[in-house]
Amino acid sequence: MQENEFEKQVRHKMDEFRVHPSDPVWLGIREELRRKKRRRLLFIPLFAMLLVAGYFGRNLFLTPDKQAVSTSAIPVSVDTKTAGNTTPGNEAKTKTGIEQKSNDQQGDGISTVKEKELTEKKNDLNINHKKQNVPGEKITSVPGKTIGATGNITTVQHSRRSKTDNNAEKDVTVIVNKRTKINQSKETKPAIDNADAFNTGAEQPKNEPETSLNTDDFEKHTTSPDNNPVSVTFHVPGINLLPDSIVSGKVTGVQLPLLKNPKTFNTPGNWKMGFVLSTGFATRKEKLIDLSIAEEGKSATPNSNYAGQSSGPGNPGRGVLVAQPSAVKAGFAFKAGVMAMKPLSKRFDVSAGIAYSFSSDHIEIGNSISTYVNQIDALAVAYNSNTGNSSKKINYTNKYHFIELPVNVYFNIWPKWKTPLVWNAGVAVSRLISSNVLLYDAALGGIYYRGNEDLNKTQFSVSTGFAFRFGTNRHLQWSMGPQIYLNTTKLFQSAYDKNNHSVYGGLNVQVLFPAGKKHKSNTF
Amino acid sequence: MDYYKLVRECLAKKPEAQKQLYEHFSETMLGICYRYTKSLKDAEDVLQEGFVKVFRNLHQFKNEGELGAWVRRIMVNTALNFLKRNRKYQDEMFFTEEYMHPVSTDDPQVHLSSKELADLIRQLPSGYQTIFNLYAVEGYSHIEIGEMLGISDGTSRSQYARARALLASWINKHFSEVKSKSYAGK
Repeated sequence: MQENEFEKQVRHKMDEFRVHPSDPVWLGIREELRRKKRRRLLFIPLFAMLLVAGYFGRNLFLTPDKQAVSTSAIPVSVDTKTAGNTTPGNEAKTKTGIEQKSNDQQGDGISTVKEKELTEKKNDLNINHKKQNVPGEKITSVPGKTIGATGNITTVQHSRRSKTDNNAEKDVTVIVNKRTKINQSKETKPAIDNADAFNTGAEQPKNEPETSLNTDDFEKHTTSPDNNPVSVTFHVPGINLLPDSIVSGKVTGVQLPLLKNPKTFNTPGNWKMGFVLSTGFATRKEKLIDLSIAEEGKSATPNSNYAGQSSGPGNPGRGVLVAQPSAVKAGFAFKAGVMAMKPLSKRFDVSAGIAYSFSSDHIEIGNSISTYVNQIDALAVAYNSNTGNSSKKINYTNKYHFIELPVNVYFNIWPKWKTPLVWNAGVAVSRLISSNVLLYDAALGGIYYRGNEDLNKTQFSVSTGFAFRFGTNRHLQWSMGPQIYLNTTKLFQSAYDKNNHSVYGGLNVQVLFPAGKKHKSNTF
Repeated sequence: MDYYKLVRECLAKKPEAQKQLYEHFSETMLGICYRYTKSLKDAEDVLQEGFVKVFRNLHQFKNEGELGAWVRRIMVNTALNFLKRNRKYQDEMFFTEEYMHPVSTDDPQVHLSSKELADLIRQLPSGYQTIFNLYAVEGYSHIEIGEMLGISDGTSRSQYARARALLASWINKHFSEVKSKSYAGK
């Protein structure tokens, strides 16, 4: 058992072995324990930011632009091809649609046709819609089947082509059955009603405007000598709805609905969405602490004083050597958020958004302690190299996490420049999420305590800066320049730091995208 | 010390209780961390990380065993994780499959102070150091060590035998040096 004897000796020796840890270890442990709490808290504003961004994104990017398919006259030129013989004198009414969707549930041939305006008569056939621009109104057509009992037939056969064919021509076929002469003003309405009821399953409003064609003109081009259905195809480049197999005629020179307000990036009035990121340095505007010891004017050293009366919660009393609070050094800071910008004119823009803001500053403290003085949870003594009340100097970083709502106005100083110079000014209201700030108190000769309770959690700030804008004529616009923020609200309520204001300076970068769909062209 | 009350107060996030728990165990635990690492700074890093784990997982302590043993296990595991992820130690933590090394019959009397012995253990290569600590000091079996380090128990045995032999020679050397100095002094 010689082996065990050696191990026993070693174990015994090592059980006695102790090493005293240095002070920063405990501070680090406490800091780590608090950091986890802050991480949890950070999820709340991040989640809120995501919700806001998602809401705006859904509204601005995903909502269909109904204007794009609703208004404007569509001059239509139709070449007709009869499917059989033509009987002169027969009248027919029809509905035409430019945009159609296949209804998979109802079967391959059932389709929904969005109504278009057809007003101008330029070519061989003029098709008038009495009703113009009725967003959402749909007409359902069944291929090969008469909708309505009046013989007023709107038959559309189509299917949607693959997405890769988006730029191909669009064919819309309308087959008109012309067996009976139809009183168009009376007969069209039931057809629409039936179609809508078929489509939506709901009763249609009685006052719904009629949609009809000018059959007098239409008849000339769609009648066949033997009353056979006439097939009319609107051949529209750019939208592809019908297979080639059912194309029986072509409409040439058709224009898609013109966009009344085509979206371009630099047009005033168009919203832009984007991101803002700013990195830089933050500090506190420091004011010398007005301890009553200053009245004594007997400061023995530059970094120590004998306290007289203290207004702080931990009054050290006369004769106690007090270490002054540490000077505050600037620390890293950054802001990140989402924003929406609306150009008001060529020179002025306005923006609003939501951002997460982090800032920090550095102080020097002494040894860590854990003492309760007048309800203050003292964590460390103030560092005083002259008096020796603290043997070690520890660098400590105060960190602040805010969520803020900034509003900015931008003035384009030289808008004609290729990279315009823009001056901006803004205000923001921000709310503290968390902080690990240590605040000074003169108790026990100068201590630092956790200052969260003494922080003004709601802060107002003003900001200004300059930036160069790039890519103003492109789809993506970005700008970069220096920015300064000054909190007008006092950072703390504590007796010793109450005049501190947060100051931040850094480089600001904005990336903006036009909100909404971009339409490349309006005519074909 | 009433550990049960102390744990309860720590679970209530009372800073003074946390500080008290830390102060009660910190020196012993730093001694453990010191043996597993090569520098005091690394040892303090392990201590800090270990105590953060202790406070975050204190709700898992069932008061069934001794609190000190529970904290000690956390420290040892934290130290092992530290060694595994720290590049400085990774080279020496490479365990090769070796033939069984005969157990040394050299069993010196350990006349060193605990600090001197700890410093000698720290001079061992990291792999030897770790296995020696786990087996000789913590009392883990070679099978357990093999599972902890991802090596076979045979490798653990052979590594331990080498570490033990090396340490024994150093202790003997140290003892002879001290002895010669004392003779010279006389």
